[in-house]
Amino acid sequence: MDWSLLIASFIHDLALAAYVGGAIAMEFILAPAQASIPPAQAQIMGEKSSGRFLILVWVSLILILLTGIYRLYWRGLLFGESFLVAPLTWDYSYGRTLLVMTVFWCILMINGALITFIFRPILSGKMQAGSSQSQGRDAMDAKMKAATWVQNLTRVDVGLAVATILLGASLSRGGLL
Amino acid sequence: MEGFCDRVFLTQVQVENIAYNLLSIVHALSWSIYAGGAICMELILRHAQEYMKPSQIAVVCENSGKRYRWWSLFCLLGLVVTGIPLVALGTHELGVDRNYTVLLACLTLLWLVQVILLALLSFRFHPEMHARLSSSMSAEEIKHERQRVGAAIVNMNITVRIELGCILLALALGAALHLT
Repeated sequence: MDWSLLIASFIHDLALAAYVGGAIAMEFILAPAQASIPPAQAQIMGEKSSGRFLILVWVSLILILLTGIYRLYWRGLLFGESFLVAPLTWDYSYGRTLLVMTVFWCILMINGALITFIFRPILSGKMQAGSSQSQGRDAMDAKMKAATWVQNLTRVDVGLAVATILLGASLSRGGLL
Repeated sequence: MEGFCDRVFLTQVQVENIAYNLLSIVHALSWSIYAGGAICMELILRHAQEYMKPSQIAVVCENSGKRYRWWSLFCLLGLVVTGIPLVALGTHELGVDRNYTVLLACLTLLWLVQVILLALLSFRFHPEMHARLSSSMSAEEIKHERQRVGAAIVNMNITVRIELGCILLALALGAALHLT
């Protein structure tokens, strides 16, 4: 048994589990628990847990990509005689399934970037002293919109991550598409 | 089954492939949710708790702990319900392929350990974590009750970390199993 492949497979599985299980736990375990405490405490919990979860998301997504590329390379499906080696081409179910998984990965990265760099700064923004009432209302509206976006994007992420697992599990028998 | 397959133009091999894919999907989803949930509870919830008031930590712990244990139970059941037919439909022969058999035995053992840990968390440590204080209690009784809750929290933390260690080991063994 090749140890580098074993380690890569372990990290790949671990990262995938952390991403999918983490997203599901955030949605179905932590969110209801957060709703059971007073708003001020819920906000602290939300800020701290989402901050940590975003770190987990980025680390997981990068590890999934790196270990996934290594596994394909080790099996001789990448960077061989050509960039993509059969069955990692459009003509095969394996290739099509993996291509869709790669597209899903790209969407997850884009959603992660949107949440991290656009919506989270809006949500964690503090009101400045001397702000007018209308400025305060605008800031509150922006926060509400950002929160809705984050919630919707997170749900899309959970769906895509589950779909990726469905596709990934089918690869052992040649793919699903 | 063969008659049904003939009618919908599926061969026995295709039916087995579909069944294998469906089982693999549920199996992969079960361990992902189980392992990821445990990692999330340890790395995310524990971190968030450091910034919260103790009274609110207790509420969050009770609420999330109850849900987490149900999810864990369903995932562990999903693992065993799909794992057994996956072994039956797989290409390896139990007993003949030594590495495969040993890895599978270790994974089965780890599954049993996880079930025991989940039972301990659900029926022993989690109920013990709730303080039963009343105004009629003496100072000594209150002190004793607080010590009991403190011990339960320590036991709970140790059990959760053992559970996480077992999950990581199971993931490593599972990865090795797929490479045999």
